[in-house]
Amino acid sequence: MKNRIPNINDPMIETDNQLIVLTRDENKRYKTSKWHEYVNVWKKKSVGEKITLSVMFVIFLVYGFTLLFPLIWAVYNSFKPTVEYDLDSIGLPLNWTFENYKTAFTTAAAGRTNIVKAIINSIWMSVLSTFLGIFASCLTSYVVAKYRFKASTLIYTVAIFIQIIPLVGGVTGMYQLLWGTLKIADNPFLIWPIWFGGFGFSFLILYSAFKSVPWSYAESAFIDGASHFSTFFKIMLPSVKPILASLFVVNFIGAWNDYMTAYLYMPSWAPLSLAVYLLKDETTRISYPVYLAVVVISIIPILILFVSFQKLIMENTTIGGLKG
Amino acid sequence: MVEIHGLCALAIRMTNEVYGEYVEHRIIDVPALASESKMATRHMTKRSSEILFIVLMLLFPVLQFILFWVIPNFNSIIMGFQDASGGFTLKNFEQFFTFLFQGKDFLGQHNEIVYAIKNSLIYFAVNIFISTPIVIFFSYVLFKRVPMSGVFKIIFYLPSIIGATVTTTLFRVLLLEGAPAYELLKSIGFITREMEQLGLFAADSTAFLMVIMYSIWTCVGINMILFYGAMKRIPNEIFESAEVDGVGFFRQFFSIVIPLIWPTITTLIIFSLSGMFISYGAVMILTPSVKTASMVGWYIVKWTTAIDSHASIYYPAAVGLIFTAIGLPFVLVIRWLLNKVSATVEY
Repeated sequence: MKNRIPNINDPMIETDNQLIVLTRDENKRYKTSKWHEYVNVWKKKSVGEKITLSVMFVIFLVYGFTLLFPLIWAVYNSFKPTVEYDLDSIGLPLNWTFENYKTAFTTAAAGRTNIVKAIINSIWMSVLSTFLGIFASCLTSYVVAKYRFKASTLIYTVAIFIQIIPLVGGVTGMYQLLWGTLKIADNPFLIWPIWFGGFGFSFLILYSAFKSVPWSYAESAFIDGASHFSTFFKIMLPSVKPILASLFVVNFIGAWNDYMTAYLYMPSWAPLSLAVYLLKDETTRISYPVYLAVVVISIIPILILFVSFQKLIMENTTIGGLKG
Repeated sequence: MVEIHGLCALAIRMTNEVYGEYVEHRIIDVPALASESKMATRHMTKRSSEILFIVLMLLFPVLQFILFWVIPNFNSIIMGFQDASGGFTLKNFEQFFTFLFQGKDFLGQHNEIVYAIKNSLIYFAVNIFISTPIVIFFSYVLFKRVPMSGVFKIIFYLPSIIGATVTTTLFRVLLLEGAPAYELLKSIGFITREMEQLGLFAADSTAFLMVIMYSIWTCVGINMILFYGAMKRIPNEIFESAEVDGVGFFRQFFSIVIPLIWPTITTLIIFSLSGMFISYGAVMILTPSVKTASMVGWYIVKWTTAIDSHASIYYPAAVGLIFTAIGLPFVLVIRWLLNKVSATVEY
């Protein structure tokens, strides 16, 4: 147990910027001590603060309920026969059925979109776009952060500038370029270069990550005769692995939920996020429960991902700001 | 605010680096071989291999950037001045101002662009004056460790994880006649006859209201994480000494937290501002064909994708150009103003 390689899901605590993996017993003790600590913190609070927090607690309960209820509602209604749903969409199903899921997989379709194709499209598009985007950002951010050349400051400034300036009509130019000039829209083999963007947010995050890696690592590699490329791939990239991992997860979720790129440039290859939109009219005309089954199918993968990487996702968003 | 890309605010620090007072002066971290005038020739080959490396690393990303960012954006400016045959014209701009002032559209009906502008401004105002304060206060309550704060954080974050099409769709389905949320509104007497006949998402009086309600409902999400993170970075000693001095919950919020997380707030305002005429919230899914519920960003996308309709792709390009011209100075001025009141310490 001692020498086991720590897993991302292991219980961990952070002390002095070091992550310590806990055994099950330690974790139990840690959690109870956490609880005692919380009770102590609460005791110390003033009466006014206790009242405010209690009121907010109730507000949070209500708000949290409004966020969770639609999901729960969608899940139980997706198991309800259509006839029953039309009579009562509020109560739990009297007769639970899997029919809606069968129908969703077999007959729910609009144009060239159906649920099986959408799942496949979601997977390849999210993986490819996430991978290409992060890879391109690694190339650019490393060079700009670690090498001194005339254009480096310019590149960095441009990367920030393009985040802030509002180019409202840009979509028309892109639309004409991809459909008209280059004719790569709606073609899965040609569309991928649009994802190879190396100057977006990933660039800014990786830039600060590479900045904090000491250059002496590279220097000693150079002394050993390593080339710039092998230093980059074998030494510098692995040293920003944690940032890469969390970027990958966060960007993947963003890509999975992105419906606009496909709506504009890949309409015949709709991923799940877009399929939920495209299938709406066709499916709901026949049956709402079938449509809710489609919705549930579309969120299962992302929920699994969120549950498995919850800590990584939520803390990365915080850590990212810290680095700069 | 929902459609500000989640990661955007991760760049807060870096944004401030360049635009704020903290312009970073790069320290030489390249092996400083130049000063060690040992073997000039060896240095030459070293330097040239380094240049080759830099060029190869940047080649494809830079080409990609030129092809898919510089060219389309530059082209969209030119397109504003073109007609369908590619010749120079000011017709697109004329058309826009005719629509704006004469109150008609390609189809001669509603004056969609007027509604679109009004709605974009309302949407932005709601973001700044309702959603953002809610998010900041909610984050503060979580930060002050309301019971079950860990669970709440996850639940509030859900809309950002599940994705816009699903949350929007569920919002819509729950507000259809017979569905729970609709029945709730009906029981409190909110539903008028017009709404009952057309449905909440098609009636002119409520369609855009639904878009706004949706945006407030899901506003907490990712921005909560960002504000919460900013608050966590404030040294705890500040709060401890404030508590010793008897500074209460709300005074700590207004006198300590707000000033210290000001850079995060301003960055989000800037992003929200620069997205004002680009974002279209939930319009595409909730009310795509209701003209009184349009927004500028959606207006442009709609005319861009409607190739076979009355407008050419050149018309939305011109509209985009007009709003860029309005938005750009606006963003820069507001940014400058916000930074003037900026605190000197950042967390």
